[in-house]
Amino acid sequence: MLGKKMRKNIMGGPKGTCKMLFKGIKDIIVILDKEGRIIDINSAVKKLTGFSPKEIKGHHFKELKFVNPESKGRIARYFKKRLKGLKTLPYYEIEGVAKNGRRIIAEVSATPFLRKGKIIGSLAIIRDVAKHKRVEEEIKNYQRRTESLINSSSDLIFLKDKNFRYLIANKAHEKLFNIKVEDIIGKTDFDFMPKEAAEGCRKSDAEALKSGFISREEWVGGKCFHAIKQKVVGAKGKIIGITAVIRDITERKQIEERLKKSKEFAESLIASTKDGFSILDSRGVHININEALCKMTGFSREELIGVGPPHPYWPPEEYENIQKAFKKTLRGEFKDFELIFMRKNGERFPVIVSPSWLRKEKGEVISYFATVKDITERKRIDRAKTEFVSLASHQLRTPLTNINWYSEMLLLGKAGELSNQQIKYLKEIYTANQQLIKLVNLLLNVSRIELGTLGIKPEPIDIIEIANIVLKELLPQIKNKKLKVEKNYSKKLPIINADPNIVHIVFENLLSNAVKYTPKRGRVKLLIKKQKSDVLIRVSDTGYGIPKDQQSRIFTKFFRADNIVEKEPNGTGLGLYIAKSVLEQSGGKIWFESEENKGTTFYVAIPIEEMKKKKGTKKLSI
Amino acid sequence: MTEQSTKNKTILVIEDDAPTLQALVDTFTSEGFHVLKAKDGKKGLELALKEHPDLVLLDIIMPKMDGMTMLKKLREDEWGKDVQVVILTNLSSVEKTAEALKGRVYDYFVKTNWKLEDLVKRVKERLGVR
Repeated sequence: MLGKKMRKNIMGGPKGTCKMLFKGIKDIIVILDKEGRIIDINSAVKKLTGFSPKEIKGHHFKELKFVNPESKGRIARYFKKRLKGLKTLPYYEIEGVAKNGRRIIAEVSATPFLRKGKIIGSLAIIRDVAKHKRVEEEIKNYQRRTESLINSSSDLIFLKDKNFRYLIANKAHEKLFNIKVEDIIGKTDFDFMPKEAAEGCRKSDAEALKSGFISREEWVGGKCFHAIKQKVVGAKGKIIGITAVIRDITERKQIEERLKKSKEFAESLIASTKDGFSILDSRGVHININEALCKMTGFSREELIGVGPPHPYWPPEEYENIQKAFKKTLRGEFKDFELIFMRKNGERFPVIVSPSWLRKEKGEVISYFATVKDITERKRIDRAKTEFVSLASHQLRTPLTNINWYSEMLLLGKAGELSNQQIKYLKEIYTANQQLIKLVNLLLNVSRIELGTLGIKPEPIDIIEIANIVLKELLPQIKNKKLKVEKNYSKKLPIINADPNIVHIVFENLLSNAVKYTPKRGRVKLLIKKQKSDVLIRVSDTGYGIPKDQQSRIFTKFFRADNIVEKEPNGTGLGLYIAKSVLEQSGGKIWFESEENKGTTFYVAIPIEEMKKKKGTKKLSI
Repeated sequence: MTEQSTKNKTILVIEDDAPTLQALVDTFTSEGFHVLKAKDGKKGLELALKEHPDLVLLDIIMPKMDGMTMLKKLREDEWGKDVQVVILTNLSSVEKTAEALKGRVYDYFVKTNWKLEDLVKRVKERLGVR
């Protein structure tokens, strides 16, 4: 009963305090004999391991049921080495598994009992440290996470002590200062930064330390930083130092600067331009306008913003035209529109409106901008030019008449008989002069169309008669080229009300083009037939055709397709322009189909009822 | 209607451009007409009222007195109100044509677009001569 004795020895003490301690303490207390067998163990073991003291008592300490084999080995070594050495023993850690499977982490410390210098046993205390362990691990994890977080940031993050020495610095420092983080710790800015930069940093650090917090932009060494610095105060108000997050915003700053400049530039441009400028929402309501638009129209900003459509500067009689352009814009057809606007005083003036989209969201245009150019002056100049053409043409006609009539008189033998060669030469003069007269007439017609002075006087006409007159005029060329001309007139053609000059010009242009631009032995077909409310003229040829990429420009003034310029250098590019202009002014229509090297077909529709009358001072020259 | 010879007919040509005037005078003379000429509206009017030609060929843009003013004055005259007037001009203006028609003009020709031959034909038709 050595054990009992020893137990008594140990447990003895003033008034059983040890006993109470043994029972009440949360730590497991184990009393071992000198071999390491368990003599006694308190009930705390049950709570931690699930094994009762009874189940454990009598076993060797190194065979404790709840201890992992590895930890058992450690215990065994402990007993072998440490107990023999009589040293005060440090804590060591054991791991194991409780009866219910829970993981156990515990710290063990042991103290030998000595009697007369000999070990008679030992006391071990086993303390549950699982909770501590977890906290410790969590702290470590937290530190690791924090570290990786601050290192992954491209911002400079640091903690300095109150003497401005680095306690913590993140990896971002390495890139910016080309120095290892380890080499920063314990240093001040002056140790690795240029003096000027270090002074700047020190100044703001000192301020943060003094005021507690700063957040501001600082230019250091040609770069712009946004710095947030904060005083760090430890327990009991002890100043630890400052933390900071510093972001390099140089690039953002530069972009901001550039944006600011370009915004200022755009604003000054819009403000200073003479052209009107407006920003409209998707419904066409003014969101913003510039001063020039106010000046141009005479309406104030207040009268225009938030208004429309219709806008106050739309003349009522032009609503239809403007709405058309407006709808085209809303459909995404962004092109220039020539329109008539109205000033506040009622004055109408011509403008060119160039719309475009300003902002899109999910493919939908949500705002537009439009420039408005007042072209009153330009129109006036155009008019002056056209009037000049008109006047010049009249002046040209007098000498042309004389060349015409004198060569005619000579050819008629009024000045005596001419030799064949003289006749031949004179005919050349006469023909050339005829071409010149034609050209002058064309230019006059253009000037009339553009001046708006062209008058349209419908009268009952026989359309076939006019067609035949024109064909007769073209007979020499037709014969010369051995062209086959097919006429197809429907029998019941009505007498139509149309301006004979317009009809003549249209036939002349279409038929002479067909003859001119069809190679030898080709075919020209003329069809005239009645349709529902109009007469359709169709002129088709087997000619050179109009290249596809140039078809859209064929009615443009002075335009001649590339392929015919080579083959027929003589031509003004005015014929189709005039034909289209006069037809459209009189309510008719013209269109075509063409394929290069196959031929062209022109269609003209003239209303049967009556051509649109138009007051004008000039007739077409034919 | 029995057609008369051109020999008995007098034409007054009023035209400021000398070569044009000459061409008209020569042509109508060679056709057998008796041709009178004037280089401006004022002289033309005087001559017309004095000589009472059968037909007047009248230019519009002329110095001293233009064709339209001359025509207006001519129509104020008892004889002049019925005389045949043919406008020969290089203006092709509807307004002028209308004005000319009010002055009871029988033809309105743009010179460049007409051959002398056709002009003679039209004048002969007007006068009912061969």
